[in-house]
Amino acid sequence: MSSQPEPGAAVAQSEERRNWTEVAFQLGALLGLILLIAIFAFSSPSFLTTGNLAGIARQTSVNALLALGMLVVILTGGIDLSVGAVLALAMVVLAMVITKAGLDQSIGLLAALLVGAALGVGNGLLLTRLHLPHPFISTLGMMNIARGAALVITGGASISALGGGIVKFIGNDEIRLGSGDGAVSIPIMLFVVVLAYVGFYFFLNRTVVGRHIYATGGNPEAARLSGVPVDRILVLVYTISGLMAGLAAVVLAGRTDSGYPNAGLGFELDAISACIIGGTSFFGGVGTVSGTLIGALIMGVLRNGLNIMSVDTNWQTVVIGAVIIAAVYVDVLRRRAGQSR
Amino acid sequence: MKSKRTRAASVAALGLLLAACSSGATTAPAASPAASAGGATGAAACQGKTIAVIVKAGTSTYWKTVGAGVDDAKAEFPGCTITFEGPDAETNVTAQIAEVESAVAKKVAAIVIAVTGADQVLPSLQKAADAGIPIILIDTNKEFAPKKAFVGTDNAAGGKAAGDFFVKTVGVKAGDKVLIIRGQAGDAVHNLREKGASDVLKAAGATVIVQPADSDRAKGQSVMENVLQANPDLKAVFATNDEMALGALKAAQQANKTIPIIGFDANPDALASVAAGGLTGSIAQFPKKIGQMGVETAVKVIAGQTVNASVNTGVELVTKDNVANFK
Repeated sequence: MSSQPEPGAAVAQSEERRNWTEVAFQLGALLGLILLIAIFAFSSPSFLTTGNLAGIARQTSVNALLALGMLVVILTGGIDLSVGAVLALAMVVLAMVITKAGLDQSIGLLAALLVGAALGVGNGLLLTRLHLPHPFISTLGMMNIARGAALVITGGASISALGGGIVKFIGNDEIRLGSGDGAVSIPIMLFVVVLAYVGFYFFLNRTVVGRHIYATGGNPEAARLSGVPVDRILVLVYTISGLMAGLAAVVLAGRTDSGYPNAGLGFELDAISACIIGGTSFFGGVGTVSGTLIGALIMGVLRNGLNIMSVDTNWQTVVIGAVIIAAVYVDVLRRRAGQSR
Repeated sequence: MKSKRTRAASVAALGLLLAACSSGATTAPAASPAASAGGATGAAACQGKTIAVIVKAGTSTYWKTVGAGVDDAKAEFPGCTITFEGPDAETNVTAQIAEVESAVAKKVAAIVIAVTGADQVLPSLQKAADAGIPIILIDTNKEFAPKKAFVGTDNAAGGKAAGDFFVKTVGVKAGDKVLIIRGQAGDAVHNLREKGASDVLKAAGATVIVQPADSDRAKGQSVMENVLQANPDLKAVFATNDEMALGALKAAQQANKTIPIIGFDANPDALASVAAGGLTGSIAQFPKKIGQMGVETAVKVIAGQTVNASVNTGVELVTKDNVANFK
């Protein structure tokens, strides 16, 4: 009873603190993105063209979706190492439903989302019911299980030519605006990503569950004491992450017109990078939807620009590492400036 | 001490079990009286002895094909025990080290191995060599002084075959731009494939653009999209594996461009695409021969015969004209 007024106060206080750091964080990462775009635009006339911007949108979409799922997990102080492998399993299940079972692409899409969500629930239950010491372990295990399952059911082979339908529409098709040389093609998947980001923004900032997610990461014990159903929140965030991996699988299957068991290798690191570059704290409780989008864009723009400038293969690896460090350091500086005020 | 030996024994038992599983699936029993073809002199040499074949992963399609070649060798040398094993994944370096150690404990007559990882397995192999066991490297060559021979694909020759096709058949000439999409930076196999192709293309005066895509289809697609933005006049594309080639093909189709694309590996997906007029070609290697000739070379070494330091199992460019022979 007496604990009733406390959660409101705690949330209000953490929200106020968040507002300060959030603004600083976002500006920091945004500054990095603008700088990166300026450098590439200055270096190559092919960079700032409508065709290339559409390309960046297509290449960034999968990571942008995975990063959203990763964001809600990291907000609770967790981590999901399984997203790349879950994407692979969902993608090959989708491909097999369509090609081997001969069902409509809409069934394949549902199957992919179902696989993603189910494995996400599994991650959550491993953590809350089996009490594995840290999500690093449960999701690492799930990563191997999902990757192995994808290899087993396909016999290690890729599946190509998925035909037409909703999956192709989402991952491959585009809307053409205008005609002739001035025509602009907008990939359908861009709408999916925008919808997802708007949806997550409202979910995290305007709903009780969203606030519970921040509270769980900020201080799980305090959250538990103030009546937040911590275990249910944890299962929910891993389910969301799995679901987003399933959605990303749909996009990637449509884009490549295939399902292959080695898809998504290392994607979990890209998704984590997008969150952290965007100002999300590994300790939980701090991070924003807009920052995550900026983080994903920095990764996408970087890879695109390096290809366009034909940067040497070995140097690309160095540059990607350096830019990630620089982008996060800009954030650190901004945060310090914010605190000293 | 005792527990260590128990552990080694159980690892060995597991290895045998694995070997039994993977060979059982593919061919007739080794005792088959059939062909004693290749080893007229060698058959006696390994009589009653064991040759351990250790690959990078027991489960993948590629290594199972290598295993089928090992089964062929078993039929050639009926009196010899030939085991076939590999870790559950190519990244599981520790498991391969355990397999090498158990082969040494069993005092096998020769080890035929596709070394996984960077160089972590080499110290264990050195111990095997110190114990007097001849080592034959297959598939992946390494700087390893005690090795008796390397048996595998000449990856540079595969790259050269793709480059030659672009120069002679597609007509790539001085000033033309050719893109090479390659696997992970620093990977020795991809280095050789890249170099084989780029040497020929550069000799013809072409401008060669090399970009990495980590052997991944989606990344190959992204790289192709991006390079096409800056170089819409691309004349040809060579990808150092089929997955990246298929991704590049998708990007070219999306951009409404017809550009000759050659991949590497001749996997079923790529062959289907070649047959359907998508990919221009793919470089085939012969994993079955790698398994078979690996064991044959080991038998020769056991017999005390001299062997070539490098045994090439061959490459061939598969195009629409000869794809029917590869299905």
